[in-house]
Amino acid sequence: MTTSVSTYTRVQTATHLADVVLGSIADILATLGVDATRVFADWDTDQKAISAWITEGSLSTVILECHQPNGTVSPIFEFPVAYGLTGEGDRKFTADRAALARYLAKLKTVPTGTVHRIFCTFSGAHSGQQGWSAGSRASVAGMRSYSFGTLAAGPHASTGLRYFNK
Amino acid sequence: MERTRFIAAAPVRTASEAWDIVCQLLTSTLERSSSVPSGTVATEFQRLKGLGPALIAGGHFEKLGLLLADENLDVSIQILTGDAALGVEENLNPFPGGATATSGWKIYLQEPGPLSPALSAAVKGSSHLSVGKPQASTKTVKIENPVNSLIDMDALRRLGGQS
Repeated sequence: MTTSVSTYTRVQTATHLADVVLGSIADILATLGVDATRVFADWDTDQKAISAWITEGSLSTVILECHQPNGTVSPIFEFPVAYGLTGEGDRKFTADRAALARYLAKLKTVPTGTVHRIFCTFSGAHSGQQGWSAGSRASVAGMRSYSFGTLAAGPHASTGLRYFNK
Repeated sequence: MERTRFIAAAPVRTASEAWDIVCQLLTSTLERSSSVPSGTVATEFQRLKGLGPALIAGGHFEKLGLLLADENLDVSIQILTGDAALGVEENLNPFPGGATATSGWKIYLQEPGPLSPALSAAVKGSSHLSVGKPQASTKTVKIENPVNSLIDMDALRRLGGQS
């Protein structure tokens, strides 16, 4: 009888989650009608940063804000990261893209000229990453909140999706 | 005959790394042909910088992927993520038939999902990149024994009872 054991690294989990989060951000912006050129241009830099922060376990939430021309910041999307053992049965690396597609189909477009900003929040100390600097995220106080549930998971961490709208 | 290859993305490698492999695979296939000048393929893919990884990360190349079509080429590349990526046995050698590629080669980015408008803008003006599935009429069909008429008009008349 032979047995085999598969082991997965935190880097693999981080690579998977960072890709799913950034891919979802690109899809969300495209669905809303917001220019995502900067997301494409900064792809490698942002992927490396988010992946590094998940690997070290410091990343708390990735936030996508939509800034409308009239000053309104809405909608806002949060991708909270949870650390620990996850996975569904034998599945190790999951992404619920079918559910995301159904979710995106319900989104309304935003006014022309709306731009986006991406923020990350942390739990404790975190490494510095190229292309990222300190900033202040918008408040979600008073906004309606919808939870998507788990968007993607790996053996060491998972990420969900929350949506805030005015 | 259509050939399909599978490439692994995350968690095996990042979407950017997977995109680079796809570009290299298509470049090494097409640029074996004297009809495809060196650098041509890379120049075309430069239009998709950042967009290619976004398409992979969004899972948009998992089911239909990219299709390379030419007179003697009909190959598709599907890029898998998640658990599916862990089981991929990759063949990164150039596709057979690349040496006979013509200057009319075309790559179809078949199911880009919400990124379709951005992709369409990026490939605008390109004669080698196209968004969506190929139309059936774009496929070249070689007829070995052409005949003047493919419809037997006499048989049709007999069926309709007309003379």
